[in-house]
Amino acid sequence: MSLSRTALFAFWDDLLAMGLSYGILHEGQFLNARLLLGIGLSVGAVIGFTVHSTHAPPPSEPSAARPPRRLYLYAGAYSLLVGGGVFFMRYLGVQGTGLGTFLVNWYGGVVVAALLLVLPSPDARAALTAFSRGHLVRLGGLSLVTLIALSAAFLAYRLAPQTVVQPLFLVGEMVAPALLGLYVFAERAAFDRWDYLYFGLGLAGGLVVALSVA
Amino acid sequence: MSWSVPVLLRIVAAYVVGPLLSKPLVDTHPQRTMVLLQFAGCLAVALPLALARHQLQVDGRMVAVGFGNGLPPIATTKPLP
Repeated sequence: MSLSRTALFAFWDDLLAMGLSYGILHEGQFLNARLLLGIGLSVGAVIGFTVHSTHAPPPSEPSAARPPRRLYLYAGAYSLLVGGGVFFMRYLGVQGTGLGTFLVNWYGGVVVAALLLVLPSPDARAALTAFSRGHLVRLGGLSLVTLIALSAAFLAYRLAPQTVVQPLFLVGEMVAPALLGLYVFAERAAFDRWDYLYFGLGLAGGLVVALSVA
Repeated sequence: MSWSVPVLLRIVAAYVVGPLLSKPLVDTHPQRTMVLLQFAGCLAVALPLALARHQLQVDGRMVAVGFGNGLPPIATTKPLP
């Protein structure tokens, strides 16, 4: 599955996290008309972009290679688990949990899950030793970037309500990978005017959200 | 610190630099193994960081949520920043 299409499945967890914060942490008190407008624009842009892209698959992915129905089941489970996790990050931020404590416990759990899923594979040990030096360096860089990204998210959730931060992440999550897929990895020949319209709406929504609490 | 700083840092790291680093690795090795190594690298950096900040405390709730969040990227083999 291409990077740009993968991005299209990755926003439901944001909506779930915002809903949980609204309901459990009573973050509705931070909502005002401009913030609601920004959230509406951001979410509408992501949904519009998703629907439009689903109806117009890129030429590099013929209909025979379309994702199987099972993928939607995975996407649903993924959204529940990750959305719950994102809400929990905000919850811990409100509780004043230290960044170091959060990172160690979070990645401790992640690594245990990864080990349980990877080690039963008979070729896991061979795969672990098959990495070239260059790939290991790149993977190390990716680990560092991943850690920085999670740390930044945790700090953002600690400093601002989830209803403010999440729409901005949502727009970033939609726009950045899709543009990378388009311009850096050449996954599609071109975006049409609808794609650009949804991108513009998403960016405008993110801007309205940011300005509404600035 | 303003909340906009970590927000921008997150967007650049997770959605720009992360995909740039991870995309060339796709299909070079088993994805599950790569994601395991990626997260093990994160833990290896986080441990001394927590030690240095005297924040090395085990919290079962966080481990459980981390466990839940480790399942999707491994099960679907989707590298997540």
